[in-house]
Amino acid sequence: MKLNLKVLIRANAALATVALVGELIASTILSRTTAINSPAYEKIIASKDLIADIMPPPNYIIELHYYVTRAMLDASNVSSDNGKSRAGSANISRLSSALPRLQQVYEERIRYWVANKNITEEERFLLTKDSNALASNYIDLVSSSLLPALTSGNRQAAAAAFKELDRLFYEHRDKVVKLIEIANREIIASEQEAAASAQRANQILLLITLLLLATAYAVLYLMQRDFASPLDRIVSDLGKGSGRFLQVSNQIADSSNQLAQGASEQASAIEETSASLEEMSSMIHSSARNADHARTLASESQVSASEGMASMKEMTEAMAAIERSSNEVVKIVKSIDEIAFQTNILALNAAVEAARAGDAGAGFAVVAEEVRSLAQRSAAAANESETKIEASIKSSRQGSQCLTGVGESFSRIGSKVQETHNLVSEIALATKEQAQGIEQVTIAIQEMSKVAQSSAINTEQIASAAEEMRQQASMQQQTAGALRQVIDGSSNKQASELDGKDSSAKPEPSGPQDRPDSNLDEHFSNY
Amino acid sequence: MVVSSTARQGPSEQPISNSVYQGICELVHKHSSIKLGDNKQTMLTSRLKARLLQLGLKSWDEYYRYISQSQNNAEIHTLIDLVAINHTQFFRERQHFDRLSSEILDQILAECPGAASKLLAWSAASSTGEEAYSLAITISEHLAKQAGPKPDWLVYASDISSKAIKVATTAIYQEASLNLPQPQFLQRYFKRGRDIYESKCRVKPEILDHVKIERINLFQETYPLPAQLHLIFCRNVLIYFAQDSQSQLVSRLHRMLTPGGFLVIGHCDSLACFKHDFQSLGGGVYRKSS
Repeated sequence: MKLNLKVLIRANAALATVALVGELIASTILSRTTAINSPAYEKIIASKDLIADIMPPPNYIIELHYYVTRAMLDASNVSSDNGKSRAGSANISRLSSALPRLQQVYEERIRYWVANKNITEEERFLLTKDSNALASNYIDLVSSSLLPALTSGNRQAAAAAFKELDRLFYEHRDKVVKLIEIANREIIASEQEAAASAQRANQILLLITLLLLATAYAVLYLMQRDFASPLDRIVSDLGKGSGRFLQVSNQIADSSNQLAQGASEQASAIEETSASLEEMSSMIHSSARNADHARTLASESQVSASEGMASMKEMTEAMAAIERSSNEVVKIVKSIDEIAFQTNILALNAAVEAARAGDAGAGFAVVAEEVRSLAQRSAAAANESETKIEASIKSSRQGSQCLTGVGESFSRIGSKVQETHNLVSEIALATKEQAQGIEQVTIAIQEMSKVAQSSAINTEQIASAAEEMRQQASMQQQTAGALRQVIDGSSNKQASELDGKDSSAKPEPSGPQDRPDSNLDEHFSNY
Repeated sequence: MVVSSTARQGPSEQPISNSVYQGICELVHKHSSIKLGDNKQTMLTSRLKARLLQLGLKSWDEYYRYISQSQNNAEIHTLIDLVAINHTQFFRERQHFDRLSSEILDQILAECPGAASKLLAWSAASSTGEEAYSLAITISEHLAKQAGPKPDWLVYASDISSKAIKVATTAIYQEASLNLPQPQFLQRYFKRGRDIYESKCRVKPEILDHVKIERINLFQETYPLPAQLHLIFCRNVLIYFAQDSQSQLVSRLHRMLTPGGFLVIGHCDSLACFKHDFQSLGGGVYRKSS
């Protein structure tokens, strides 16, 4: 069985009761055994009586008187025998040797009784004055008269002294008898008084015991009332309080764990966002570069188009010049044709004239024929040239028309390229704006990231503080339970229940990164 | 217990000095060719703040000394991890994947040497792996529809960020952020997570087996890859490099392809600003002439 405060108090009460009652009984028994007329008392009295019975009483001078009487008998025998030496009497020498001892013992005891307070005044007077006067007289007489008379052999003087001594002895004996009567009376009175006082003592003892018991009970009651019960209440409150404290700190620990997890997730999400933004920013920069490049290309295209236009213009002019010179050539050809016609007619005329001339003109006729054929060929060539040149002029005109179309196309290309250039420039500008905007957003996100990171760190610390608090609460509850156990021995059920709840309500969320990769397969299954 | 106030007075509160910023930019450029602009101080400080706290360093100068004096490669990797942007998604810029299945893969299988026996593709900046797995899923889908003997195939995936490579290797993603073109892909190519992996999913082993992941810096001396690739996806990464680096990289990629091989770049990337040997097919698709 385990000890606790309540049990201790009750045990103390029981112990005090047992102790006091036991003490009472023991003292009663003890006082019975040692009281007047008790066996122990009787034994002491018997021993005293025995000593008194067998020992010669020092203050009753019967021993001295015996020696005196024996010495006197010797003295009378010597006187009757008549032959014996007086000084050689054994009894006389015994008397003379015993006297100083007996006298000394006697005086010692008288001195003792003079000082002893436990006898009545009457007894002391009888012993130390009345009886003592007689006994002292007797002793003086023996030493002053009898012993010298006996040693000197003066029988008469001895007999006279003895007679006196005998009287003194009997008177002394009367006093002693009287003293004994008084002493006996006194004994009875003392015994009665002692018995009465023993009874009174017993009664007082009983009273004291009862008082002590009452006081002990009162003190224990007060202890129970003012100490154990409040302590009990305090411990109970403390138990409840620490239970609540544990619950609350569990909640705080859970919440701050969640908070820390949330903050860390938030921080990593912001980090991801920040990375995405960085990438986006890089992309926009790249787009801006590409747009710039496109703009350059557009500018170059525009220059090329303009150059084309200029060439086109030159070409158109060249074509016009060709047409003009072709027309000139046509005119020349026409002149050639006319000249050939005239030449043909002239050749005909020459042939006629040659025929008229007869044989003399025969050679001339041949020449005329040749000239005519040349004129005809010239006419044919001129005609062919004209046809060709006309065709050429036609082609040239068509070319000119085409060139006009191409020129228009070129100018359209030029304007489209200009448009493209403008658009791409706008894109480039917009991309730059975008890049700046993204830059701002990135900075904002990075600020957020900074805050989120410190939040994550702080919440982490809060979580660990909360965890510590939870442990403290748990310890406090155990302490309260232990205190309760000390006070009333009951185990703190509430605490253990909460502890159980606590251990189940403490999932340790740990990231997958903390786990080894070896058993990944255990955690993944087919959909 | 008192919440430590140092958390609120981190080094990020101090402005980064221009020389330190330039120094860090140079380090980043030297080790990754990533070109940080002149105005990315805020970005840099917010990314590196947590790292400084972790290292217990008090100022940016101290950090710069630490990273430049130690010639600490691991720390420089960490710096690049923090600076590199790992923005990606499954089937991002979908048109490219549509064109893959509608024309490019068929052309590769018909015309490229070696493709009929083993088709080799490379996702050159695969970040956390989404692009490589999208590529693998597209190839797998295409080959499944094809009649006759099917060629073996392999997708190489690489990135400069060790952190991203780690994620790519575990191949675990949030189910909500998958953005698959066809809903049935989810159960065909992914496994559902339980317990601590609730609401997450993992790429199935049959796809993982066809994807080989490696950390590659696109500007390292040699690539640990065969130079007979048929298809390279190098999207949304050129934009982070300076133009001469872009030109250099594109000619290296040209050398990695077999004749008739395809290069696909991001919608925002452009090969217009420098000379190259590719034939443009439009929409960011380029082909090496055969």
